[in-house]
Amino acid sequence: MLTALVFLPLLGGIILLFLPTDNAIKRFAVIWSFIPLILSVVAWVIYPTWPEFTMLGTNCSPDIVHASQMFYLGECVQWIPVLNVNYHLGVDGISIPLIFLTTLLTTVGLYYSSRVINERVREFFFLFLLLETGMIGVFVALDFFLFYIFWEVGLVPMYFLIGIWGHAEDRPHYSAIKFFLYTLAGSVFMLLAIIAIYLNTKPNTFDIAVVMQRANQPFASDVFISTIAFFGFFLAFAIKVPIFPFHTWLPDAHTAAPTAGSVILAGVLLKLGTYGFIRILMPVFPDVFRQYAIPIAILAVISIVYGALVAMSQTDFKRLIAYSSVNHMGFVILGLAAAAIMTPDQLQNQNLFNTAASGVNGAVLAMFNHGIITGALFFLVGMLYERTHTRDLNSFGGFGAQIPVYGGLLLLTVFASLGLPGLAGFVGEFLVLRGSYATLTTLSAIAVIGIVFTAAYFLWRVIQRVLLGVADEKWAKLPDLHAFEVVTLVPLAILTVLIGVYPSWIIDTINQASVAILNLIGGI
Amino acid sequence: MDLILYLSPELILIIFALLIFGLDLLWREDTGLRLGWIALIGMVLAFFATLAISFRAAPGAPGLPIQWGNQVALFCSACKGGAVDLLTVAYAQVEDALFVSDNFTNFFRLVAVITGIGILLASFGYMSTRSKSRGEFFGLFLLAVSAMMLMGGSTNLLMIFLSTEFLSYTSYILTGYLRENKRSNEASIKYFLFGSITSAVMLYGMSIYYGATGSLNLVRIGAVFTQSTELEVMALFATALMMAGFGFKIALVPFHGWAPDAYEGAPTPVTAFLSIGPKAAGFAILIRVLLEAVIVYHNDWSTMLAILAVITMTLGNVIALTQSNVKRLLAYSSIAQAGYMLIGLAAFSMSKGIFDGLNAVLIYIFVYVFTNLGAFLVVIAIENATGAVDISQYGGMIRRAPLLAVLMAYFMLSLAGIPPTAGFIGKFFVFGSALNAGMSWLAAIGVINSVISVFYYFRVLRPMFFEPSPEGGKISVDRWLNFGLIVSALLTLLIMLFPTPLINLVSGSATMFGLVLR
Repeated sequence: MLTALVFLPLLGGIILLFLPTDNAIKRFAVIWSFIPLILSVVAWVIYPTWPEFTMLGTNCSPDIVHASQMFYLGECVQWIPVLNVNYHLGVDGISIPLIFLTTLLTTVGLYYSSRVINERVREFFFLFLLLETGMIGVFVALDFFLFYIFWEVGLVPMYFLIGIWGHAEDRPHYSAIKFFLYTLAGSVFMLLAIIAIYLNTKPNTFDIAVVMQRANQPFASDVFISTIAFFGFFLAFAIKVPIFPFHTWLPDAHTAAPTAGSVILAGVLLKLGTYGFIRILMPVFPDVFRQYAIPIAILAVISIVYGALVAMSQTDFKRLIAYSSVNHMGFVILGLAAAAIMTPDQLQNQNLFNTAASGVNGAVLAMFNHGIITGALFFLVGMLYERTHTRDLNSFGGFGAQIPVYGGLLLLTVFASLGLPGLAGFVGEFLVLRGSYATLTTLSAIAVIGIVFTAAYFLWRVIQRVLLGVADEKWAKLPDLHAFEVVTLVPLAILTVLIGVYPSWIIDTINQASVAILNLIGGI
Repeated sequence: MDLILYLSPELILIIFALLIFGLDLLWREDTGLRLGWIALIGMVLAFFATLAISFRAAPGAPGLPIQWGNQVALFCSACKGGAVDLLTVAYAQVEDALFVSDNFTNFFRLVAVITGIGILLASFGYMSTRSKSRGEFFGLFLLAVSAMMLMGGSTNLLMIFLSTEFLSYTSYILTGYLRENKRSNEASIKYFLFGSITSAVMLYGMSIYYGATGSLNLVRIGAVFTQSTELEVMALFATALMMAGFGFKIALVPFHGWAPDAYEGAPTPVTAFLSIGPKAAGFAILIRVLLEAVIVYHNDWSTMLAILAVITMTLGNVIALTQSNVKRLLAYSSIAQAGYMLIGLAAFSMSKGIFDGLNAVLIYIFVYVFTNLGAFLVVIAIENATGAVDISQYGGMIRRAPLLAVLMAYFMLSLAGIPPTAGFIGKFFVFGSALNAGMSWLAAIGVINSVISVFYYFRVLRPMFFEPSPEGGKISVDRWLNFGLIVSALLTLLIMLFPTPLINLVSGSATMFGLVLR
């Protein structure tokens, strides 16, 4: 099941290399992308009923099977026996929503691209599907070696997507290589940390599930090695998230990327970093994370406030949204840091345990929300750019009356993003603050000020500059959204409202996994 | 009879080389590529001969009843003109052997013959358009490959010196093979001058070995050094001098000065050979000398190699950043790659664990063969069709030759060590061995270097994928070159997906004549 989910996109990409015409390629890619989408929905529905392993080929050792009790839909086969590397996949309530987010944004992105990409079509759709394989792979891999490979596999297609289909005036080549080098610089240290884990576990293992088990804690005795390894991972994830001060690649990459590329970049690739925080840093290095939780939380709050302030000063619509990502991802890290700061003793206390769980739940939900909301925002920016060929906020105005459908959807998405109650963004950030207030009171208070700034730049820069005011003469003939553009946005808008009004269906899924992880840390 | 059997790969190559020289005289008039075909047949025969002598019968083994690991010593007093099986005889009785055909030798024989076949495939098209006298080229090339093999099995200073010089002289001639081309001549002279000086220094080091121990044999030298620790300074000094010779072959900084000019001027297939063959063979000898003769001073030379590794990869990478000629760029890249290999050797930990440095360096060499060969095959294909060797002339390759562009991207990723490529497996083991040996700082410098290297590897890709094509239509690639390319690419992928056979091969090859882990 998970293997199919991971490799079907790649298979589709290979098939479309042999299709004759551009139209056939586009149609095939969009239709094909529904298969992983449907599979991810099916996986979401059936996974709690499927705790047992599907064995493919040579079975993995019993301790891996034993260690993977908190994962579902497990698959495991020996890959490199001499190194004890296994092809080990599995999901829990944290990865399932993120997989769904990936497949959804890919389908939507492919659909939108099939209407606007007319150059080098074959390569574009191939790379896009390859990217999907890499992203889903990271979310399901339970072996460090495999995790690293999928992590890197996603990098190369994104490099080409930015470099080839980027807007010429945004220096796409520069942005593409900057994105690549930044991410790689982090991930090579992750590679060293992975090897360090292998060398320091007895028996040597690359298995994430095994290392997560407290009994196997590799670094409990050696604080120095575990700290170094922690920061190896931290660097890779912090650059990907990105946390201030590692964020400088992000505005360039987002601005230069083609619309669907920005959507995936913001919607999914940034989540790989925060996913790493939850999947690896929290359970594998609980002690080190606890020790450095406050500095990390401070960086998160700086990201929140600084991201908002910088976004406020942008005149480029797309750069503004890019910086808003720094702002929103700060909340995710804040929620995780607040949960990580709890000692095992504190987690024994039911009240504090709930607080920590709410921090993790809020963080994961904020990840999901940021994916759909910022994804939608990047689509909206791209659609406006297709019409006006500029992203300069100062030249816009009066579009609320001019193109009302666009205006309505933009209004909805912006309100969701700034955290209006009743829409998705509010729920996630509320839970994060609920989780962080008890342990990180001052920082939470500053983060709340960040929310005010967020509201300020969205209302002042976006709503006021784009929708209100009087339209310039030259925009008189601006067409409103086409049907395909509405179709692109509607699924995202529906989810935004649905989660805002009735979030418990997704929170229940996430909560089951957060509780499992916190139980592990607390030794409960 | 045994003697002939266990030297058959080398003998086959030498016989075919002489055959080609002879036929070249007989068929004075336009020989076409017939001589190339003969060379290829010789190479393939040598490949199978290598396989035949590297396996031994293993009754009862699962699957085929054979297993990797057939080790014999040749030319020793106990050998009596034949071969002595190392599994049945104590090392002490055969430690005066001149040449051994052990697992390590066979590993490097495989590396040599695979390199040879790949480059031969690439040189057909190249040589037929550029040179009238092709016979000598193929003959000399076979001799160079046999010299590589001899280097892999030499266990005596005399044999080491002779085989090294054998490889050097054939390489000098091959580098200057385009007689009418000034750059080619210049490259050859530079290579020759540099090579002669480093050989002399190396010989000086060898003479100190002999003076100190009274033996030319590595194992015996090792025994003397192990017993008499008062020779430490002398031994290390001599080893440092010998490093000049090996460093020259491997193109280590500061003995790398010849490489960029020689690489740029030499005929491109020869450049490809220079970037793989002498490097691999140089490592073979370096490993043998360090592990058999001065293993007792492991801690000292390990630090020395670590420092050399840092200098080599950093300098290679930093200078490669500014190159605009693809051949020069790959030259500096191969210098940097040698630095990564050196990390593995510096991290040799005598632990026999899977992350041991010796495993790492052998894996890296094997992986590097296919990757670098592949990259050069792309360069040769483009040069054959358009004459372009400058990055700026690579514009729009994705339109003109989609296969070449995609494969180039893949090989560049592999050289940079980004999965899913074989290069990643190589880097994984090399950095892993450094961590395993407690040299985290070396691993950290290594990974930083591999990030730097991405910048220039991707600079080659940038015009290929991002820029419009300046001129010209489709590029056609001849059949044999195409075959070589696809095989290299497939192996680069397969080693990533299924690294177990390679790891087994390598850890089997790491058992070496006379190496007793203490």
